[in-house]
Amino acid sequence: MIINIKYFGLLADITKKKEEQMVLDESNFSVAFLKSKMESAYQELQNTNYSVAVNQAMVGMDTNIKDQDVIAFLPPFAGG
Amino acid sequence: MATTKPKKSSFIQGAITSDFIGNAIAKHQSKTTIGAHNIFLGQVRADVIDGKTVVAIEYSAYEEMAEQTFYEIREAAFTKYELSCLHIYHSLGTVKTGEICLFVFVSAPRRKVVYEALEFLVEEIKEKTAVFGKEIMEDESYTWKENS
Repeated sequence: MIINIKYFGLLADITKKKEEQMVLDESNFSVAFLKSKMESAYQELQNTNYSVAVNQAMVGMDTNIKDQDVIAFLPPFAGG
Repeated sequence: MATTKPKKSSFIQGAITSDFIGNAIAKHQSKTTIGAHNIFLGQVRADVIDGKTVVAIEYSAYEEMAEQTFYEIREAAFTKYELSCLHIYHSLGTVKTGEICLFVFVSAPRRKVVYEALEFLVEEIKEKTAVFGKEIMEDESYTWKENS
């Protein structure tokens, strides 16, 4: 399945990209699984505080990710 | 094709000027059921971090998500408080220290509700909106801001 991942703020600095598309063999997996996959690809993420949104909604670690979902890795908010 | 008007954006490129704020106030003169306005202005502070002074914040956002959050916060405020209208504007891009980066404007027939509603709105915006701030130092190095 194909998913789109967006990175913001510090996380875009770490990954050196604003977004990427990933093709995965797995067809059903959780945010926690994706997180561990990304943290081995970008090791600096391991020491970084961030949250995850799926299709623009903040989600917990056990949320399932589906084909074509848009995942965002969000550092702490700093508005205002 | 959808014919509905696009939702008004809450984001403004660069600093929010005193002209913009003044005009926003002036536009309410025709709304004569209003008896009280309350305004919050967020200003970029020249924090000193590790001996370096912040000269500007460069704001970015997950815009689609942040606009949706602004919409939800606005709806929640209208449900909770008896307001005539409310407006939220946030900067994107570079805002220098001393300039305004957040403008929240609430109006109601009577005053008591506008104090509470404004605090509710500002706290919700800071906590829930996907906006990110790069604090630029005088030597052009930077650090990522985190709301406390």
